[in-house]
Amino acid sequence: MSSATPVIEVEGLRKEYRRIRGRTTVAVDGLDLSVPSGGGVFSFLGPNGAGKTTTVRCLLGLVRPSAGQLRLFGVDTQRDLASVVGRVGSIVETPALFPGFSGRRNLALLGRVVGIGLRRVDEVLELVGLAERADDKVKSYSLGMRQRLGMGAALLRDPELLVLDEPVNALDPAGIKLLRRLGDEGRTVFLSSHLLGEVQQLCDHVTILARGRMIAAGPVAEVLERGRASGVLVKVADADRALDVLAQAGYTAERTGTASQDELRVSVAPARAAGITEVLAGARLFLHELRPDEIDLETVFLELTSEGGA
Amino acid sequence: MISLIGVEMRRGLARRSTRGLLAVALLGIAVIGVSIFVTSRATFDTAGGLAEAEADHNRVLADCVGSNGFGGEVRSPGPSLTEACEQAVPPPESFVRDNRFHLTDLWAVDEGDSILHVTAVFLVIGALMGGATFIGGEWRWGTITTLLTWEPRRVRVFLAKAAAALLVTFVLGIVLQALVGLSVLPAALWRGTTAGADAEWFRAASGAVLRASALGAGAAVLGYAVASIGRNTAAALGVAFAYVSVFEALVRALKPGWQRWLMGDNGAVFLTGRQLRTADFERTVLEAAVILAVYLAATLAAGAFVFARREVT
Ligand SMILES: Nc1ncnc2c1ncn2[C@@H]1O[C@H](COP(=O)(O)OP(=O)(O)OP(=O)(O)O)[C@@H](O)[C@H]1O
Ligand SMILES: [Mg+2]
Repeated sequence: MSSATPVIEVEGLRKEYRRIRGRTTVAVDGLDLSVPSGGGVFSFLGPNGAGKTTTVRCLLGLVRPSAGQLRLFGVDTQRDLASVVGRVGSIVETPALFPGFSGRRNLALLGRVVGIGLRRVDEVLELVGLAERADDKVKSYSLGMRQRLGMGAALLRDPELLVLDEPVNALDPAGIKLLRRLGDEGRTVFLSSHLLGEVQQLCDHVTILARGRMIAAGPVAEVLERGRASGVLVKVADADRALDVLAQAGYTAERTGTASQDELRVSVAPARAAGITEVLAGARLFLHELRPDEIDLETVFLELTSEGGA
Repeated sequence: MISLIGVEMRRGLARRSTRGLLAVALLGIAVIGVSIFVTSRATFDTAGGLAEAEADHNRVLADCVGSNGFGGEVRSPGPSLTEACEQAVPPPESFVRDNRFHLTDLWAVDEGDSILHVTAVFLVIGALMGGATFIGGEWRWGTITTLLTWEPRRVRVFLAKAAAALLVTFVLGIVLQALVGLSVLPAALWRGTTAGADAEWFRAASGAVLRASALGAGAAVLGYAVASIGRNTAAALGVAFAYVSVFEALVRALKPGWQRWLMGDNGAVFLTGRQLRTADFERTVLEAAVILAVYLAATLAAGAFVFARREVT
C-alpha cells in the first residue's frame, strides 16, 4: 500500500434509519471525508445528532450505509473490512465490556480472539493507567475508567488507526497526552468529541458536521480563520461617540452587548489595531483597554452549526 | 475460528448466568441424592415388613367381603363370598413393599419412568435458558459491538458462538448426569440394590446420558438462535416455551396426524429410545435425531441470516 493512500476515505455517505411506521431519519447526508496518511490527531465535531456516531458505525461495518463509499487504508469496507480491521482500534460511544468480568479478563478474552497474549494485555493496562485495578470487576469502575479500559481494548492490537467516538471521559490530561503521543508516533487518531477546548489543544485537523453534512474541514487554524472576520475589543469612556467616530473613519464597529456597556468590537485584524488608537485619540477618546477578540473553536463551532449556518 | 470458539467457550463458562444455572443444577442433584437416600429402606423382607404386608392383605380382604366382592366384581358361582375373595386377593407376600432403591431406576431400559428422564427435561430447559442468555446478554450489554469491531465476519462470529454453546452444554450435560448417577449411588449401595445394573444396562444408560446431553446441546443452540433473531433473552424464552407448551399441544389435540413431526415428540423418542405410548407412529432414534437436526439447522440459519444483516446500534 503506498503511503499516499488516505487512511480514511468517505465519499457521498448517506445513511437513513428506517423507523417503525415507515418514517426515516437521515442521519448522514452525502458526507465526504478524507483523513490522509502520515499520522496526527483528527477531530470530528458536530452537535448532538449530527451523525458522527453513525459515520463511525458505517466505517466499522456495524451498520450498512444507504449509499456511498467507505475505505480504510484504501480497502472498501463493505467488501473486505476483515482484511484491515486488525489495523484499526475503536471505541464506539460507551465502550461495551462485560460488567461481571475484570478489566484484565475482558481484554484477555478479546486478545485471545486474535492470538494476543497476557503480556500485551498487561502492557496496555499499564499504558491506560489501569494496572492497579485490572483485577476488579468492570462494574466497579468509574465512567472514566471504563472509557480507559475501552481505550485499552482499542490499543490492544497496536493499531495504525484509532477511531474514538466520544472518548470524552477518557480525555483527562493523561489521556490527552497519550493520544498526542500516538499521533506524533505516526499513528492516526480520529476522534469525535464535544470537549472543544481539549480538541483544540489536541488536534491538528478538524471536520465539522451538522445535520449529516460536512460544513467545514481543514487544519484547526484554518477553520478558526474561516469562522468569522477577526476583530479587536476596545473599551472607552464614551462608547456612543466612539461608534460615530469609528464609523466616520470607515471602520465597522458595534457594541459587544456584554455586561460592560462601554465595550466595542471593531472588525479589523488585530495587526492593524494601531489605526483605531489613532482615530480615537484624534477625537480625544482615550482607550481603557484594547485586546484582540480571540476566536476559539467553540465560537466557530456554534456559529457554523447554528440553524441556517450550514 | 478455533480461537474464537475457544474464547466464546471461556466466556460462556465464566458468565454469571451460566454459573447460576449450574448452581441450581447442582442443588437439584443434591436434593435428588439426599431425598432418594432418605426415603429408601435397606431391606424389604424383614419381620416388620412381613407383618405390615399381612395387615395390608387382611385389610383388602375385609374390603372385598364388606363391599360384596368389590360391588360384584368378584363373582362367587359355587363357593362363598369369603372364599372367592380369598382367591381373588393376592397372597400376603405380594403386599410386601419394596422400598429399596434400585439403581436401574436411574435408567429404565424398556419401560417405566427413569430418573434420567426427569433430569433430562430440566437439562433441556436449563440449556435453552443458558443458550438464550448467552447471546441475549451480548446485546444487552452491547458487547457485541466490541466483538464485531474485532471480527467483522458476522457469520463466523455467529457460528463460533453456536459451536461454543453446543460444546459447553454437551460436556456440562454429561458431567451433570454423571453427578446425578453418583448422587444416587449411596442409596443403591446402602439402601437398595444394584441388581440388574450389569454391563449391558450401563451401556444403555451411558447411551441415554449422551443422547440427553445432545438434546440439551441442541436446546442451547435453539435458544441461542431464537434469541439472536429476537435479540432479547426473555422474549426468546417466552417464544420457545409458548411453542412447546401451546403450539405443539394444540397440534397434538387438533391434528394428531402431524404429531410425528413435532419437536416434543421426536425429542421424547430420541431421549427414551422407545416408541411413545401416547402416539401411534413409528420412529427410530435416528429418524428422530434427523428431524430434530433439521429444525435446529433451519432455526440456526434464520438466526445467522438475521444476525448478519442486523444493524448494530
Ligand atoms: N438506531 C437508530 N435508529 C433511528 N435513528 C437513529 C439511530 N441512531 C441514530 N439515529 C438518528 O441519526 C441521527 C444521527 O445520530 P448520531 O448518533 O450519528 O449522532 P451523533 O453526531 O453521534 O450525536 P451525539 O453527539 O449525540 O453522539 C440522529 O438524528 C439520531 O436520532
Ligand atoms: Mg454520537
